[in-house]
Amino acid sequence: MATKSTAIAGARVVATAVVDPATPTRLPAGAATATAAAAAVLACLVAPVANAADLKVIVHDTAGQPLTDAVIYVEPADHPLKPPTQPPHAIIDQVNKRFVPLVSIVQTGTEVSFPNSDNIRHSIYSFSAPKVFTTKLYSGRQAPPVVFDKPGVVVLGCNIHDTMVAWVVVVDTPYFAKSDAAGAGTIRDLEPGEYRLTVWYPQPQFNPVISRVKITATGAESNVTVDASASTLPALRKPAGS
Amino acid sequence: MGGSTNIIAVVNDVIDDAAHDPRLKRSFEDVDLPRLKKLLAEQICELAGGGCKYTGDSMRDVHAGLGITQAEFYDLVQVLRDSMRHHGIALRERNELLKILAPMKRDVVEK
Repeated sequence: MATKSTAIAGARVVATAVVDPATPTRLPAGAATATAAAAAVLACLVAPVANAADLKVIVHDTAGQPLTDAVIYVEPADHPLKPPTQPPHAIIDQVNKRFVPLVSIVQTGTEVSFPNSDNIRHSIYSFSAPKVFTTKLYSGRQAPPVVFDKPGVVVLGCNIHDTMVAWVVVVDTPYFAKSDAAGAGTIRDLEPGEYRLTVWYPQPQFNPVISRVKITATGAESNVTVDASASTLPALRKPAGS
Repeated sequence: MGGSTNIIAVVNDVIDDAAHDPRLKRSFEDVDLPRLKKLLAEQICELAGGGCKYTGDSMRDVHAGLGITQAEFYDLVQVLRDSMRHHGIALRERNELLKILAPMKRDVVEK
């Protein structure tokens, strides 16, 4: 089923099968007898679903192990996307001296709240170029959200607890997903067309893997192998003190 | 108390000892110890009139949620006493410092 295989920046990207999507809803034969008004309502409900398609991406390391928490996003290949009219919102919590989630993907302009579910204080910071900040989080006091207004990778730490780390990947697109335990992430409701697919993994000196995908009305599926090791992240997920 | 060098040496030992003490180490898990040492030395230097400026949070904020017991507080005082003795600080100066630090108990120990 594989149609092509190209080597990009030390990584292999294989665009494979077009998956069987949810079958587009069709009007049953009896609908011809429905009133014009009812048909119009039905058409409105059905139209967006019939045109949008899903992209499923499966991310593996070079040993074939699925990579969890890989960042997957697409941008239209031929035109930039408009920035969001309302700032999107995201939450990164602090639980047992760990950031939750470990990896976040947000669209440029997103306001991120740091609620702190721990009853102790944290002092979180970033020295990363796209967003440099420090915020003190006291138990029971809500700190103002932080706006991530430039694209790029932001590494978060805590001044008080030096084992805490998290990543915020800021992207110029609302079309993103994070891979699950099976290495799979699905970006839903894409208009058919050509897209640039980027896969990133939180590992030092990691170069994003970029490829092209064609989304048809029936969706698409990609397997992406990245030059990383699945064994690096689990240590960061373990509960504090264990 | 013999200057800031002595304060730094005492604080470094207190934190290292406490972080390995079975009675006390739970409060130091995952904590950035070099930062803690720097801020604690800064605070003691300021309180002892050494001309430093403490840049950390209030003792109440620092200890909020940690659930520090009275026993843990006194265990840490003992670690501090031992460290000061180890570094040759005279009894009178040791007592002076403990007197300065004693009022912190109400902000450190969880009621």
